[in-house]
Amino acid sequence: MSLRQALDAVRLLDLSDRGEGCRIAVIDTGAASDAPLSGQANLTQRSMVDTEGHGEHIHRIIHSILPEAELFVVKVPNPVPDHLFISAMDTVAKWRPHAVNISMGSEFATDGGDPVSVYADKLSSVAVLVCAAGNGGPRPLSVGSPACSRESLAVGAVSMKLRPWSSSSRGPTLDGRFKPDISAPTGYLVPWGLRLVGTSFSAPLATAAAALLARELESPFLARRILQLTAQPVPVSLLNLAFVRGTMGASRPSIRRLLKILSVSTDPRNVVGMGLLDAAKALEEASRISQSLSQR
Amino acid sequence: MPCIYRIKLGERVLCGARVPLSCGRGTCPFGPQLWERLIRHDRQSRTIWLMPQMRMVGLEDLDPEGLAPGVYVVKSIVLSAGGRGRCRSGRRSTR
Repeated sequence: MSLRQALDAVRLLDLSDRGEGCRIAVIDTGAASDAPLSGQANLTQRSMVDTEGHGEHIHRIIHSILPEAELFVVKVPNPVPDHLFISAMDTVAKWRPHAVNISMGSEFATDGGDPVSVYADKLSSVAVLVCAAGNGGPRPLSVGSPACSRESLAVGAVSMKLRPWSSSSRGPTLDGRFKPDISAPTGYLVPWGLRLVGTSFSAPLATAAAALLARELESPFLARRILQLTAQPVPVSLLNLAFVRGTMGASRPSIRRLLKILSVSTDPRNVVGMGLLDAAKALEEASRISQSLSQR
Repeated sequence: MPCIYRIKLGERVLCGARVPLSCGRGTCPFGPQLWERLIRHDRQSRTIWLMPQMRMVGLEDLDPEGLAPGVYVVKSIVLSAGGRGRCRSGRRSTR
C-alpha cells in the first residue's frame, strides 16, 4: 500500500489544494535535505539534517501532500528532556503556524497536568497541535504526553485495511478522557522506497488536513473540532483476539477482570478516537462554516 | 506505566498531586485500582516541576511542607520519537 492510497483513504487526494498560504511546523529529529524549509531552529549540537530516520520522513510526507505550504522545522535531540521540548514549542509559536506536527511523546500517561501538556494547551490557541498518540498499544492508558493534553489533536493509527492498528496507543487518559481523537493510516510505502510504520507517520496526514482547515477558518479550536466531528467510523471488533489480549496487560487473565476492564479499554473512542480522518468532508464543513460566519 | 506524580524524597514517597500527602492506595487521585498499576513500574527523576508556575527545581530543593496551596509537583520527563514502542521504517519488500 502506497502513500497515495493512504491519502485516498483519508480523502486528501480529493482536494486540489496544494497548501498555498499554509504554515506548518514540525518538532522532530531533523529535516530532510531535499525538501524546502521556510524557517528552522536547531536545539542540538548537530546539523539540521535528520540522521535518525524519523523527522526527515515527516518533513517529506507533509511536503509531498502540500508542496506549496511553508514548512518550519525545529530539530530536537532524541530523546529530548521536557524543558527543551517546551523551548521547541515556544520557538514554533513565533512562526504563527496553522498546524504543528509532533510525532514525539513520553511513556507517562498523564491527566494533562504535566508541563509539556500544559504548554501544549497554551500553544493550541495559536495552532492545531497534531500529536502522534504513540506506539504503546494495545495496552490501555498508553497515550503519553503531549498527546494526552486537553487541546491537542491526538492521532492514532489504523492499518492499511482501515482496521485499528494493534500497537497504536490507547486511551483513556489518567483522568478518564477519551484519547486518541482521530485516526489515520500507517504502514504505507512512500515514494522514496520505505515502508513507514507507527503513529508518527499517521500524524502528518492529519497535520496537512488540520493546516488547510485552520487556514480556512482562522481558528485552531474550530479546525480541531471539525476534524473530530467529520471523522468516519472505524469498526472495532471484539472478536480480534490480539485486541482483547492487549486489554488484559501483564495481569493474570480472569473472566471477572476481563468484564471489568473490557468496556473501558475496548470503547472505540479509546482505540481510534472519533474515527478515520476525512479531509474532504472536514474542508467542506469548514467552508460552510466560514461562509456563514462571513455573512453575519 | 510509571506515575508522573510519585515522588521519592529520601525515605518518603509523596503524591505530587496531593503533596505533602504520601503516595498510597487511599490518597491516589486516580483511585485504588489505577494506583496498583501506576506503582508497578516506578521511574524517578532528579528534577521536578512545581506546577502550575512551571518552575523546574532539583529534587533536593523540594520542601513538601513549605509549598503554597494549589501547588502540585510533577516529575521531569523525557520524550522520544515513536514513544514507548519505536516506530519503524524499512525497505520495501521485493515480494
